[in-house]
Amino acid sequence: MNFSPLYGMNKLRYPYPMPIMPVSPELAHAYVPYQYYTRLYPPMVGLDKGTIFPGLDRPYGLDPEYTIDA
Amino acid sequence: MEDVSRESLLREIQAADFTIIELNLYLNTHPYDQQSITIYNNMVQRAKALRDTYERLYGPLTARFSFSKCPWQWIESPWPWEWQN
Repeated sequence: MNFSPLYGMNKLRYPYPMPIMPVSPELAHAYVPYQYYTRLYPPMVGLDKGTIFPGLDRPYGLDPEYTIDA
Repeated sequence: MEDVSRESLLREIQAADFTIIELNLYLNTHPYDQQSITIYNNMVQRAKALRDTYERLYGPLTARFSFSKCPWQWIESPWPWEWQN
């Protein structure tokens, strides 16, 4: 990713700081990192890609690290 | 061809609707993101306007939430499976 969520200026918009992970993560619990706003794809591009968030645009098979059988 | 603009208008409605759904999900976990709420509101307005345009030109998109002229427009062709590619 080409953005640094923890230091992005976006967090200034929130009335309270949202940590990317819980403050006290529990062992053996699974967590989803908090999503930070970056920019959006235009509607037609989003419909084509299946998401309007560039950070979530990870077509299966392209990145070997996130591909099991390719 | 007439159907080209009809289909592309329909596609624009689908794209606007999809963006609305995505922002809906995002805002569920980011309720204070004023900028995204503004984009969401603008997109809802855009989808509404596109729907109005489509229905004015080509007839109802839904049977229950669209106005109809006489005769009843819902049964007019083409049905979704009658599109030519």
